[in-house]
Amino acid sequence: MTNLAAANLWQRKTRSAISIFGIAIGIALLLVLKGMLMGTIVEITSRMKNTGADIFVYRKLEIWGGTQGMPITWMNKIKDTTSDKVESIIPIIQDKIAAIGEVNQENRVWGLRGEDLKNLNVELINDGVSRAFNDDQYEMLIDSRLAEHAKLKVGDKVNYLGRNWRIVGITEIGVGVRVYVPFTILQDLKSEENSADIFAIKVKKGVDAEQVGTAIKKISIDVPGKPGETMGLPVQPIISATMYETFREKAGIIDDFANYVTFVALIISFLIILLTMYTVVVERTRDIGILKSLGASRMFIARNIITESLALCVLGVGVGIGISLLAAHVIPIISLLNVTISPAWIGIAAGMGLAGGILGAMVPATLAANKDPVVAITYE
Amino acid sequence: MPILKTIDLKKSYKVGADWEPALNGVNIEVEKGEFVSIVGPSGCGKSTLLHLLGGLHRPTSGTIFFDGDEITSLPDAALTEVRRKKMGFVFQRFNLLPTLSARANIEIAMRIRGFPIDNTAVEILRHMGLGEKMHHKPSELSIGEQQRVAIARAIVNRPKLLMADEPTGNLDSENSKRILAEFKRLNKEMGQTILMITHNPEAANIAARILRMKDGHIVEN
Repeated sequence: MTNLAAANLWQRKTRSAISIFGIAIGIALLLVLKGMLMGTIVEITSRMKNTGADIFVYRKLEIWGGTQGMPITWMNKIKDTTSDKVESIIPIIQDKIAAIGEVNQENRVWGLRGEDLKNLNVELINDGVSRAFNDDQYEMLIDSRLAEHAKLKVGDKVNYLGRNWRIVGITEIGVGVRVYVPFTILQDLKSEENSADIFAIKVKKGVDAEQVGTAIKKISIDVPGKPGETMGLPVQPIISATMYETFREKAGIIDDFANYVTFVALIISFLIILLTMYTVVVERTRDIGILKSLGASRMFIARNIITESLALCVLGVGVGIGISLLAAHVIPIISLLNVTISPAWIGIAAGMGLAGGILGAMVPATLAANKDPVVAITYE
Repeated sequence: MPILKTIDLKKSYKVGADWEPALNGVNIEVEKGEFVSIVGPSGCGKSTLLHLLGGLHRPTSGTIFFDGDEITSLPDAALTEVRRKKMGFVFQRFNLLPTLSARANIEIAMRIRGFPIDNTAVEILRHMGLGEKMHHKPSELSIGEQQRVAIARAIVNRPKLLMADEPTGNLDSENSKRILAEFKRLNKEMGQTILMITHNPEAANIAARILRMKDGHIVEN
């Protein structure tokens, strides 16, 4: 059985290779897409955690970088309400830079007060020329990975928000964002006077961040323009420790998209196998007749077709996983994207590829098993 | 008791709206160890008869007894089992699996028949003078060699009945002689029951008995 399947596959090397490649592309597409989504979330959450902040407060529904800031008065309100539990609150202005140097990929920018760089663990690399920015200058810090990809160094100029910014320092990777500029300057340029987009909160030792988050949600403020009326502070505190889960939840639409791609990959595998094995059955009609004349049962013939199909799928899945792992290694080198391929998703992709292979082979296998032996053996 | 017996065997095929008779009540008996040839002109029903006897097709009416059992009413799976365990086929066009070597062609037949894969295929190929070519694929063998592999495959399970459909039809005279000699040897030395269809009188004459067919009937026994 195995010998016959292997011999048949070997006989049609090109077709077998194309089928394997087709399945591999479907699997790789699925794994890389899912891996990029996971990689992005893992990277963002790990960067945020590495700032050392325990809670990030955003205006409601603005987690992905909204444009509407929160008044600094809200920060003061939070500070007053939680002063016994909170060590520090750091205001951050968040923006995006569409292209920088040779990198044409959007990167997040944080506007920070110079004094807060250290508070958020933003460290300069030890290159002898890097320094922190001055709060009143158009000066910029970028991380070393962005500097490498963008081919930028200390002293270079970057155009951003219609101004020329001078790069004054290169930071270590893995903390916060890749680009930092002075808080007040970004505030002015974004016309967000007296407001910030994120409040990064560090709680005191031994304090439960969840409790502080709950306390923040309970803060009420006056409704603007309606004296005497109050409302809850329209903010969303995200706890660093559970940020991954929160972001996964927020990334639901993208996750759904990845799931649709998974489904499409399954259909592609199914169709490739269906067409390949259907062609195989038509082409080997005579061989099927021979096997029947030798006394091969319908099960033997069907199993032979399914074995061939499974062999193609196993190889396709193997090559697909190989391509994905290679992509996961190469993509971060050639771009700023990260790809995280989890063993669970490798298992899911492998299962889907094999399931597609078995399902796709079912119809051709049934056709083969039901062939009239005399018609088959005289087939030209 | 004959190993093979048919009673009033009929087979018709639907051609357009009509039924065309291919066999019109065939009655034959073949004893164990006999070598029987069936001869007749093209279209007389020889191959149809062989397909019915081999369980590859079902008769329109009539009965076939094989090895003491009535096989015409057996379900498909049971008929396949009979073919697998008790019958061997040799075809005019050899019908070897093109992707397998000579040895693998025999071994797959052994596997289908549930035999352990031992040295039998090698021995039988050596016996047929094909020991050196056991790893060759059919396309690398001459037509005579291909037919010898086909015979080796058909007899590897020691079938009770070996059926050959024009086994020399595609062969030159020298290869024909060799194949016919092989059939004769199998019959004489191993007592193999053989039913051979041919339109070649020379081939038919090596059998102990000749049945002549015409228009779906046995006209001479």
